[in-house]
This record gives sequence, structure tokens and C-alpha cells, in this order.
Amino acid sequence: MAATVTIRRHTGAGPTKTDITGINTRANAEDAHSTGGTTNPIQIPAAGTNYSYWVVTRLSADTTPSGTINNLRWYTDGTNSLGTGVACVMNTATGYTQATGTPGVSGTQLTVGNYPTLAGAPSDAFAFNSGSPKSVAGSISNPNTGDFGDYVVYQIEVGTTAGPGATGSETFTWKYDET
Amino acid sequence: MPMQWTAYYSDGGSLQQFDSGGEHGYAEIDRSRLCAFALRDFCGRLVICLHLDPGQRLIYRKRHEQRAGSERVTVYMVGWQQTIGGQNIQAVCYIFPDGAVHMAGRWREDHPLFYSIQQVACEQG
Repeated sequence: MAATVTIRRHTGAGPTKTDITGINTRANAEDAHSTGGTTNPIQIPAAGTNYSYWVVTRLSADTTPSGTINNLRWYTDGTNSLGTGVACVMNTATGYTQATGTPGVSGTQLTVGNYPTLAGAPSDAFAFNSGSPKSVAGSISNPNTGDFGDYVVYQIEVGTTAGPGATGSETFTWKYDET
Repeated sequence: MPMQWTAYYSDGGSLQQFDSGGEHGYAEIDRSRLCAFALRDFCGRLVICLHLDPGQRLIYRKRHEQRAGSERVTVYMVGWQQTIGGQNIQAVCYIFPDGAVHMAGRWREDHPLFYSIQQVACEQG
């Protein structure tokens, strides 16, 4: 049987691993998953850039594959529909670093210095589409279960020209092969 | 459309993915005796049967696409690869959930579906 694979958002010190496979998750100025939280929005800056707390996601094999899952890929629809003055950057990482910042104002910027296991400086998430996805290292084989593959970490960047309120939503896609 | 495979051997034997012994893994297929590979839906209807010539090596994958907030979509890949004149050549059928079948040759890394596989241990050597 095909393995049951979920997309998990990792938050907190534990970390807590929330199944976001069938739902949405918001990138607010807080280290928490929510589908519609408005308590800690990212403050539109008067100058410079404010950030969401970075969002850490990873695949989990809740049941073991009968063979192997590998060839992981991640991508967007290729178009930034978040609105004026709002961007999203991402990269993969080999480990988990809890997001920090000032709640309701800004997260700490996602950089290699602040997230040591990040594969490199984050880049525009929308550069990765179905024809040019981000390769994500890692695999899992029978009889193992649980988290597998590298983390995909992304962050929302808000500039001075951003408008108030919730941004448009974006869909991020994972692909993987299974034997 | 979940499907199950059957591996057919040149000596007349076969290995079904599911039998009285439970589920068999892809790695259990004896590739040295493999002459055909079939996929059937869970009603037992034959969807595709690949007949392999000597030197052709089986390619089989379930290629999953998972979007947050959506159901997982799976495309089955059944095909073969062969080294001819020092070049690796492949032909793969992609079977979609609605039953449509697309066939492609060379791997295309710029295509959302026809990109290369990563070999697993039983496919190497």
C-alpha cells in the first residue's frame, strides 16, 4: 500500500509538528501554526522590511512505504499573488531552528547566520515552479516511519508598500516518488 | 485509482504485490527472471502490461503530488530503461488517476512529470 505521507509544520522548542496536509497555515509574526490567526500580524514597516516568523515544513511518513520514497521536490505556482510589497523567500535546511522575533511586529530574518543548517541564502520562492522545482534531499524506506527529507523553510517579507489585512493565499506543492 | 502490480517471470512464475502472505515489496521482484510487469486496478482489471526484452530494466514508480489543502494525486509510472551503445534509453508510460496514459521517452528535467527517477538499491547493478 502507498505510505500515508503528511506535510508537517514544525513550531516551538519541541518542536510541535502540526499536520497541515489538508489545511492552510498562516505565516504571522509568531511562532505558531494557525489557519486564520490575526493576533500577531506582521507590522507594515515605516522603513525597511519586516518578516514573518520563518515557517518550517517537512514531510512525515505516518505509515511506512512498502519500498522507498525519494526524489523529493517542492514548488510554487510560479506567480507571487501575495500583493504589493510582499515577497516570499525559501531554502532547504538539514535541521530545525526555532523561529524568533517580536510577536506582532516582525520575525528574525531568515539567513544562514540565523538558521545555521540552511542550505544557503534564501531566494525567491516563486522562482520554483512545476517545471523547475526545488530539489529536497532525503528519502525513507521500509520499515521506517516519521520525518524524512530535508526541511523546507520559507519566510514572508513585508515592505513599506504593503497594504493592511490578510494577503492572498499561495499553494506550495510537494512531489515525491514511491516504489 | 490505486493499483497493484504483478511481476511475471520467464520460467512461468509470478509475484503479486498482494497475496496470502501479505504485501510484497518492489525490491522482492527477481529482476533476473522478470519478463513482464502488469498493473491492475483493485477490481482486478488489467490496466497495463509491460513486456520486457532481454537487457531492458523495469522502471516503476508511484509519482505523488501533494498540495497543502488538497488530496494527493498519484501518477503511476511503468516503463523500461536499457543501455544501448553506451547511452541509457528509456520509455515510460504515465498512468493518470482518470485512466489516461501518456508515454514519453527521454527524461525531461524541465517537465512537471517526465523528469528522471532516483534509482533505489534493487535497481542498481
